[in-house]
Amino acid sequence: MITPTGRIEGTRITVYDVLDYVRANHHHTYTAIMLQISSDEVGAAIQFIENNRAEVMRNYREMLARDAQGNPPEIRAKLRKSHAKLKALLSGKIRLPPRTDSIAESQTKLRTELRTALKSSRDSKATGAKTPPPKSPKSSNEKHRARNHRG
Amino acid sequence: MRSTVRGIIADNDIQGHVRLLVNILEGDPLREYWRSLGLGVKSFANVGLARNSPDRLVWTTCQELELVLITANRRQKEPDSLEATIRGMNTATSLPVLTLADPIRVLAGKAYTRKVADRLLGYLLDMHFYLGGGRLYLP
Repeated sequence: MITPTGRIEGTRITVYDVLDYVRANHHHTYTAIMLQISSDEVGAAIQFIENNRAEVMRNYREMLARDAQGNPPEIRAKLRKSHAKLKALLSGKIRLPPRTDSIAESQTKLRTELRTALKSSRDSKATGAKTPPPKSPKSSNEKHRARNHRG
Repeated sequence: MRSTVRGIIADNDIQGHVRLLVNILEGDPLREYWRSLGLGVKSFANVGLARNSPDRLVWTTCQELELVLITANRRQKEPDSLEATIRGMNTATSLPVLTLADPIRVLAGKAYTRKVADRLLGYLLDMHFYLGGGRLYLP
């Protein structure tokens, strides 16, 4: 049920995900619901943790240490700007620019082209201009004659 | 240069967490700004990913579909882990992966959850700042 690397088979969930809930003293049923696995799988993950406690806890501490570092300084600086922008939006000091929607733009362009084409067609009818009749496809006899003639 | 994000997608183990965050984004006072982005909220099933899809496939699918993956993914040592995938495939225009630094706290603390939702919206409003960022943290 648990792979040697600590993954619950058939899922992306690891024993480290389960360990988060164990440490927070959550009931195994709650853990199962939140992780969308069965209670038996939660039990198997807990058993795996117990059986491999030293290695699991070493890996887990490394993961927590990485998470605790958070974002690098350059990202933190950008996040401060984004946060200031959100605050300014919420306080009404600035407003978002109108959204550019490429699909909406394409639809507007298409509608304009269709309108122009329709208007041009109406105008040509009104002035009596005739559009050339479409070429009729050759009949099968004509095609046959043409093939024999080449022949 | 990439200019679009079409949505967000929650990893399998934090769908409930992301639902909580989206509920906050859908409420006052963030709704106007969240909705202005016109983003979809996708699940693995929506985009044809299995619940045991490897990290590499999840990451490449998200990039192709222009979805920001939100994860609590903590597998770092496997050869096809998210860390390894980002190290090998991330480019300056790749969408980042947003990782919940403390998923349990998102479920427990109202103020903390709001902070995470604010930060998520901050990332999404200014995504051009964060392209190529690899794995970034919430909050």
